[in-house]
Amino acid sequence: MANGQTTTDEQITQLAQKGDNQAFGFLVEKYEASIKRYARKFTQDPETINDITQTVFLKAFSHINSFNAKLKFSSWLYRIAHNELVNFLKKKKELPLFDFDTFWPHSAPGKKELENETEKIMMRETFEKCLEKIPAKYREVINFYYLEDLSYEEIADILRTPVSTIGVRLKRGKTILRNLCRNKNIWNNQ
Amino acid sequence: MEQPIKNNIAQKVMDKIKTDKIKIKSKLYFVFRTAVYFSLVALCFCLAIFLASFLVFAAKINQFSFLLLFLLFWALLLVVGGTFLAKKFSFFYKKPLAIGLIIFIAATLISSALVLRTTLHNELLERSQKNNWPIISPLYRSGCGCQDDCGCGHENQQNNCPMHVE
Repeated sequence: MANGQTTTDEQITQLAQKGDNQAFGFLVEKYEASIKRYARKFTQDPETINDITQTVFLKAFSHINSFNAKLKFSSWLYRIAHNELVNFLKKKKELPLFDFDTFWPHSAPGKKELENETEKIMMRETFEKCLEKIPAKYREVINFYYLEDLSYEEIADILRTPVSTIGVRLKRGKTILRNLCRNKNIWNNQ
Repeated sequence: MEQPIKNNIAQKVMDKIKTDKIKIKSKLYFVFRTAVYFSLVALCFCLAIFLASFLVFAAKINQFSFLLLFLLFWALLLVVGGTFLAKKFSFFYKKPLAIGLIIFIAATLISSALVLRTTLHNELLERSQKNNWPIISPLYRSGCGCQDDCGCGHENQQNNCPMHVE
């Protein structure tokens, strides 16, 4: 199913590359909610969310010829959205100019450690409740992994960050979530 | 509440596309942009190799000078700059920056050692004395501690600066 969906998106993108504007319109409708959901993790202002979403799709349209068929269309679109949000967060000074997480090699936590399904559901609930208290760089990775269900490699491609850094950010983000939400009785079962 | 906003955005995007306010950039633009990035990385790499090998070459002749320290700073700046520029390519962004830097530095040092085995710097020093090339001539004269009248490059004159490094 997922593969079929990816192929369809690639085919639609190819049509858009050939000048079929309606094909691009279909992609806008399909991914609008996802991009809005992503933007909503960083700002609560509906107007800003709409502005960012609109800019993302306009940039996607003008840059449609840079789409690489090796990547998933959604990953490519998230990459554009990520760049927009980074600009937005840098203006708000919520992101540092340089992140040392990407400098040193890390031994990423094993995927099995993070891929427990029950834990994933709990993480999603907790994340939505404690969103604003989590630093942006962890919020982004948690959002992609737990809410958008992307793999480490896909997140690494979107953020252009080493895979090991994604693992470390997830681990740290999870620790922050646990500490923040301990009093909400969500993690009591563990 | 959500639905009208959703339709509004899709509509706005499609309106701007239909009215030709947003144009699709050609594939050539992206190929050119990637080529520029790649050329900049290659330029940083080549200049870093040149400076690193020149530093060793000049240090053998002239020992320590502030010019060499200044060139060392530039060589390091080129290595760091080249590594940051190379982060655009997946081979580099998938690795931590420290690994990228180590790869860049190692490649620069190995290539510099290979350049030093050639007669490139000897010939450039010789030619820079014969000709008055911008940047290169003053660089070699100052870097190797040659005086203007030292006779470097002139076979019949007494050579006061050690041109040929063994």
